Amino acid sequence: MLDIRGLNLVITGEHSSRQILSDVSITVNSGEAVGLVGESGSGKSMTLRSILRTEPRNATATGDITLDGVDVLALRGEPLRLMRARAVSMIAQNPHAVLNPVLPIRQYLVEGMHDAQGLSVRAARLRAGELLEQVGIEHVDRVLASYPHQLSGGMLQRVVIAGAIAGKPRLLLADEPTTALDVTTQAEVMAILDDCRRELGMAMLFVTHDLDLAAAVCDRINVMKNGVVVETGKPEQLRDHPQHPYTRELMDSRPAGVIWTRAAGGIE
Amino acid sequence: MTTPAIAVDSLTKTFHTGHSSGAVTALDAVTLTVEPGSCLAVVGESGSGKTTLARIIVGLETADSGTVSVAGHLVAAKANRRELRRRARHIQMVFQDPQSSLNRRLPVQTAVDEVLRAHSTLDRRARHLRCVELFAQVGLEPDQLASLPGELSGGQRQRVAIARALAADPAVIVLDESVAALDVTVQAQILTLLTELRQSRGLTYLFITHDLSVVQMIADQVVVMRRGSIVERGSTADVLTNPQHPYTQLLLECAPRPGWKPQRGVIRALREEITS
Repeated sequence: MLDIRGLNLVITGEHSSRQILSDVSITVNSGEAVGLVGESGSGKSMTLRSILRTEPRNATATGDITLDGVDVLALRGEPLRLMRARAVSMIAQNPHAVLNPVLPIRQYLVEGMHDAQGLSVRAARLRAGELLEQVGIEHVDRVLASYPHQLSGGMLQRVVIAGAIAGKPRLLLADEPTTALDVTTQAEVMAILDDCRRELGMAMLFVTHDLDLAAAVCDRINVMKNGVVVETGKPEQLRDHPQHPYTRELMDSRPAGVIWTRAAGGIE
Repeated sequence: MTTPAIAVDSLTKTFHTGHSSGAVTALDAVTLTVEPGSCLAVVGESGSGKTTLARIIVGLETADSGTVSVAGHLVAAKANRRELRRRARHIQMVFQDPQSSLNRRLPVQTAVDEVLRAHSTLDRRARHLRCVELFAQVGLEPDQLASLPGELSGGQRQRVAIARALAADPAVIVLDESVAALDVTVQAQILTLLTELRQSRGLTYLFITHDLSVVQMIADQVVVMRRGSIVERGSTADVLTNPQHPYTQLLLECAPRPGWKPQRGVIRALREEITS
């Protein structure tokens, strides 16, 4: 459904220009989760921004991005707005940058559904409660009435996920959605995101610096370095038979994992 | 029996927030010892009190009650300047973000030179030679002494911060999330450097981190903190392979690793066990 072919991105400054992405090709099939893993400066976030056409003003993207057969790089005005509102949703790293600090959570969710999907305010209010339940929030009414500063980062990120899945978009774009969270909260939010995505049959492009985290929720992973996709494969392939030396370096930088396996034995 | 490099006894610290509602107990009777030449990791999430513990040990914060001894010397709760300077020679700290602990307008040599001026009697020339030596020890080139922090990468800046800590020739270094902001490949390089320095100079580390997978790369001993208390302690191998407290089990369950999947059911069950 999403097909990026030979994407180049050049940022032109006053005196010089810099190539940020070189010949990036990534495919996401319908219902599939695809990881985009790299370190800082690898171009992973810029790839994601190009899909939403939110790359910096002085950037020039060339190549092909097609979403459900539509040429994204040619979109302007209303069709671009509709694509952002309906076909794709984005989950960013920092929920505080997404949520309006002076509006309660209810308003954020209702506004989104009313504007983007044309739901009546009444219907959107009902739906907001259902969505929060879906992302594992217990005191739904209290959270709906809260302002962003009254909730923890993990809770806010669940709200953002609820907003992102509200319109059942075909594609979720997630940019380091759990990087700012504590490890236990990260695991919980990741599990929720994964469950919701599968239930609703959405595809996802997941940007992260954490190869193990990507492997946990993705069907395929692209490893990026310096604006180039150096390797693409299934998580097990990358783990057991990394082809590119950089993939191997990424694997070797983390310990082989702690040996504790009680949970695998099952206390569920 | 050897004198511990750090001995902390019943350390308690409460922060009073502006509101009438509140006081937060950052540390609740925390007791621990670190043997000379070893590395103790303090693991916890945000709000566990791990950073408050580190700051009290180096003297950036004072405790409400309890004692801290460094190399057998009891550290005064309210230290004067002389006392702080004496302590700084024993114990140094490396922070998470060298971007904010280095002056961005001054060449990085200044940061190291300042420490040498404070703690040694070396003249200008000797200090410069010492800076070159320290830079070599942390894997930096002599011509990088003149660089501004902004001209170096995150990993290089953290190497400067380590060189600055070494300049005081301390016995103990407190590392507060010192590799948390680095890319994983750089993180591995810095951890290797820290391990080599510990062995070659017989240093003692207190390593504050939220990341259990880093722990096994650097620490001999671990304490796990939650809401101001130590919930588990032991050798790294024991704690990581046979965790007793459900909170430690939860942390391990949530640490991404090859073949791992986050499971809502397991996480919820462990959380319930912790609160019960």
